[in-house]
Amino acid sequence: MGSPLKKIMLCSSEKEIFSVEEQVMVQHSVIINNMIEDGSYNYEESKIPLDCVDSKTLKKVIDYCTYHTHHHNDNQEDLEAWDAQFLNVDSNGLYDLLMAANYLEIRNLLDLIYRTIKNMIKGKKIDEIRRILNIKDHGFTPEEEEQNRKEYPHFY
Amino acid sequence: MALAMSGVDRISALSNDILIHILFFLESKMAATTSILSSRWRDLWHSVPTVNLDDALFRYDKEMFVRFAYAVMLSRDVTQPILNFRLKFEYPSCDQCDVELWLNTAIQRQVERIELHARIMTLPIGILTCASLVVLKLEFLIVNRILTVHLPALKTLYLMRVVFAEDEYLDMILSGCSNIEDLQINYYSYFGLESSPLAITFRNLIQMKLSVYDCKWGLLVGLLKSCPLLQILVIRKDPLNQCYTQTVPGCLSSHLRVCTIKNFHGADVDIQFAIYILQNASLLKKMTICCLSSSRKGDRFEILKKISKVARISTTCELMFE
Repeated sequence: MGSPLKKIMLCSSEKEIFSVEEQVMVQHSVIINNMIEDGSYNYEESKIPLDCVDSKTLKKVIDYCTYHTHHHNDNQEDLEAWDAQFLNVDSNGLYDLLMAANYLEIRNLLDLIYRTIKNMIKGKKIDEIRRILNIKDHGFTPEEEEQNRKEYPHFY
Repeated sequence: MALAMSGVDRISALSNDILIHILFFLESKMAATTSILSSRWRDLWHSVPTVNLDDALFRYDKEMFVRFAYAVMLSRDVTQPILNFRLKFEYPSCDQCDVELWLNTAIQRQVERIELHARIMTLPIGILTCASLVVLKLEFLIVNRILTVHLPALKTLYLMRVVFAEDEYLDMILSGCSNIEDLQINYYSYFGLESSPLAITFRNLIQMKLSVYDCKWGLLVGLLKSCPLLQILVIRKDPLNQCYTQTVPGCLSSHLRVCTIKNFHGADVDIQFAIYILQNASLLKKMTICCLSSSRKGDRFEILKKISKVARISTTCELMFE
């Protein structure tokens, strides 16, 4: 665990630099925690390059980690309400967050996104899920698709 | 929110690991359904490390449910663990031997979390020696035989409306889970072994919820003595049926921060118990007393008066009535 006052630099794909309390990122991101622990981060010079995370997404990720660091004692319902508001983003935003959380290994955030996607498809029919997930090419041969529709009509 | 707004099929481009994780949270029937979503998804659900079966989704059709459950268990990728096993059935949907077979498979695949909710089943005792188990939630089962209990990794134990054929079975289970952090028991009657209190100390137990409808004060205090680090205590009970001990368990004087007493009848012995907590829990931050909703307003006011005038040992303790 790093000292609470130290700051670290994160660099987005647009080369924008974000300065964040070390503690906040260390607590949430497995990758950053490992970097700090093995001493590969130099506080004077290093910037952690996050080439696959754009500035808008990185800012959201930092917001998430900061909030959950400072409010981890809040009651569960308040945190869930905050999370729901936090994930009220468009679909591209959700994928971007998923990719960023996956890259940085932020497990709480990943679980939150997985659950959100799960809730979007839970109890839905196949055609509806395809629409929601934007699966245009299902990759089945017409015969296979026909067979599935015949075999599991109630799922469509 | 529709992911289709993005215009591109971004989800199918995600790695298998990510897609499997999304399926991890789904009930098995829904996860299996995704196999006809597209060829990309066809085989993913076989690798999901979770089995989640609920007969309500089969409209309680026993034959369909059991056939599906076997399909899930047998079509799995055998190299993958089953981390999560959840089985819920309301009606006599499966036979004891089927359930034991599925559970034993899960136990062999390093299961970490088991949730069983079944009215007409006895507890498969193999669960009680599963070394990988971290979370165990049981509801409505009957425990009619126990050989040994050894659950070294268990952190969370919920026993809701479980029926114990012998009184000492509850103690036997508790004694085999020395590392639990979160304990919930909802039980008709806690007799415990009066002469010999629990021989175990729960060194990690932080949160305990007890709903016991017939419980003696001495036994409750005895249980608290076994939890030196307890910070959060929620009790729901009928009036305690034995009075007052002077001994103060270590958790009261050094760790308890939150105490909630539900189903508060307002009998003298209940009031004494609430006062006992307030006078002995040095670090208590919040004491909540939930009176029976059927109690008269005047009675509730009397209870409130009696308890709120007691000097609390913790100067920062907040007292709430609901």
